[in-house]
Amino acid sequence: MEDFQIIELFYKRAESAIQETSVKYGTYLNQVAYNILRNAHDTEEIVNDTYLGAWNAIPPTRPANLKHFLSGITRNLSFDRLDYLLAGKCHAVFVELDECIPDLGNDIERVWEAKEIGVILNHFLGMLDRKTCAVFVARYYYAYSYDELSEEYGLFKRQIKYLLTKTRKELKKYLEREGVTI
Amino acid sequence: MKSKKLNEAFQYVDDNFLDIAELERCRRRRKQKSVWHYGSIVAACICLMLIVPIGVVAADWFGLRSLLLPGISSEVSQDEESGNVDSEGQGSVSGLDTQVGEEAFVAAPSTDMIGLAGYIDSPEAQALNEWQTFLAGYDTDGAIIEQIGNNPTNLDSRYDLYYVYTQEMADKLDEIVTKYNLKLHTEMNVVSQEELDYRVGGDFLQEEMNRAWAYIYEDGTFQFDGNITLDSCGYVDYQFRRTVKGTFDEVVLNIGHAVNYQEFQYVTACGEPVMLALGPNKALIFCDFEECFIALNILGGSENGLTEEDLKKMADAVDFVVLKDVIVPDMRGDSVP
Repeated sequence: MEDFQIIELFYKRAESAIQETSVKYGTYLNQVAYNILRNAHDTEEIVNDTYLGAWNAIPPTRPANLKHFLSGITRNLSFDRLDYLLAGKCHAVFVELDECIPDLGNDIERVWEAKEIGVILNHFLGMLDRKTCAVFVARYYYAYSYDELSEEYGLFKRQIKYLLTKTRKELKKYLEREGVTI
Repeated sequence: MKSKKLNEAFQYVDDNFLDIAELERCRRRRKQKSVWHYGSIVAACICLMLIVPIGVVAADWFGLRSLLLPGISSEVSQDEESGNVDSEGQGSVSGLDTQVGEEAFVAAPSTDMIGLAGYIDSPEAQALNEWQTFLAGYDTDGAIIEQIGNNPTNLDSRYDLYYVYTQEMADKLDEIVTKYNLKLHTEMNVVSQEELDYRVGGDFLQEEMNRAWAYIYEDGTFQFDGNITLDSCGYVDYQFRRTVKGTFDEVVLNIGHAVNYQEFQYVTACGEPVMLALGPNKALIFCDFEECFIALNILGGSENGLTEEDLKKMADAVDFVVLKDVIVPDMRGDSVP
């Protein structure tokens, strides 16, 4: 079924909307949640919560891209669940992202909102070559492990490590140059 | 935690970038699938790989002798019927010897020289052979360079990266470069290991291969020295060079006698076929790619205890996949003082 037809089902409040979403994107959403949680039971719960989230959001929202709209919900819910599960400990992705935080001077005027940083992030991703962009997004959006990235993108693990380290450094510089304060 | 906010910002990553991540993954999977789909072809290729090296080494296709610069190497005569090789280098006179006359022939050491720009049938190697042949016959008594001394040559700066000190040499270089449709190097930077990795597009050498700073040219050609400690023979120095095709490169290497080398073809851990050549006092690992030629000159050989296994280990330590597709380096200046 096409995305617009599924969205129409949500608008009509037809329960088949959930079923059709599950048929089309269930596997993908499972992957998104599992990459973050690494636990089948939690993954299943999060995916079900994603359907519920979509049910509550559509309408009024009419997603331009249903797949990524759903993955956004799954990702958010998964990281929230992870927070709870880790009880204050840090996921490896956060540790790595810490390296990208710009060095702050003493003249902080305001702290930027995540959405504003997202705009800058998109500019940055737009400057990367396709492969680097793919690997960077796969790591920090989809939370693929290094081994999985190596397998999925056909690069050696140390190439992945090098590429991500280099890109994180570049992102830090870019955020600093743009005056982003977090 | 601040990184959580940055993680949250990823929530706003444009759908296009998410698609790119997905498409690149799928593309890789399609490649894998097609490989397995054509399993019989793969099997046939493996059989060929097992058979071909015997022929390759026997005929020296793409082996050390295919790198020899005939203009400046001692001629190694070969009895075509028996296949016996005259290792004393007393066979027919090489092109160089013919040009420079008997005196130079007597004075010249009977050694073989190889180019590091590609096999002899490549335009880069032919240009190199012609240039080295010219150099060997030019200013043979050193009178011209002695006269110049430390004075400026007043030549155009575009010859700065070449062994050129007269207009005549510059003209000859231009003639050769034009003839073989090559470019001249225009810029060179001295860079650290990390900077080199950045400029070539990734880390390509395992940590057991120690290395010093490198110099890199505008086209991605680079060279550095290093060393490795091996179980069989201890500490060994090596030189690593990648020569990018399309630009004239004048580096040559004296290898003693090609005939004294044992040669093997080997597929490295990263899946790239390379040639290994083990001589008494020197060894080489080299491979020819569409965009570049890579050579490791190992300053030790069988007489120092170096083995074929050592060469394989060194070859496995190089990620040729990173290096074979050349990216134009970011020439942002020297990174070491």
